Amino acid sequence: MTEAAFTNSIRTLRFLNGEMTQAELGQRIGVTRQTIAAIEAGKYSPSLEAAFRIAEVFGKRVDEVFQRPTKKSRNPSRIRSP
Amino acid sequence: MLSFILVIMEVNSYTTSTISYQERVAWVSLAAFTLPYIFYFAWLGFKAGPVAQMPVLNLMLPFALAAGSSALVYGLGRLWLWLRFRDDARLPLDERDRAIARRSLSVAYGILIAGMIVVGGLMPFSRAGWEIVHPAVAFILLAEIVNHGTTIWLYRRGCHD
Repeated sequence: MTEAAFTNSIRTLRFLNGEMTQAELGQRIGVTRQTIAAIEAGKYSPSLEAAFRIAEVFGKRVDEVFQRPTKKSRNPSRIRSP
Repeated sequence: MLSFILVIMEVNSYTTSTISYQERVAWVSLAAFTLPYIFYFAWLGFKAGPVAQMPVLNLMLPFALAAGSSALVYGLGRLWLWLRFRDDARLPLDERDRAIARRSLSVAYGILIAGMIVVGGLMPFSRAGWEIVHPAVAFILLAEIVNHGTTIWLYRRGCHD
């Protein structure tokens, strides 16, 4: 599967907001239920507009809904020279 | 083969299915553009005698049969999808559908252009008649297969612009 650039907490937010279904969320932001499922599964990166709409539905900021995975340091003991 | 595809599409119930309606349409289209023409080109490949010497009707009839079968498979498949998934069929294309369609078409377009350059720009200097028509049809079919195959692949594997 192609890697998503961002992770998201949409599924958690849906359950915390009255157990909103994927269909309900999709209807509110103008996409299909299957697209919401794809976003949650990391199979589709929504447009900026859709991401903002999702955040507005839950009353959150975009960065609270979508997160960029941080790269773990491969050699934490390495000291960088100033 | 078609019934197998239809069975696959029946696996999930409507409420839990994550298969987009457009992906189902792509499956039907893929079946319509491969199954009938596989038989036609297989017959063309294994028949006796060169194409140029065959009576026109001997070539037109099997081709018409393949084209008609393709249209029938596509028509019946689309009708079945519309009846079975009527609610999904009524929904307009959303941004994911449009993004996947754009990418699939861009890939298929390249194949189509390459084929037309070969068929229209190179082959007329050394071939004529059906010896040009068949590669032209084959390239068009290849572009369609790549278009729908890419669509299915992007729906299954993910699409990140």
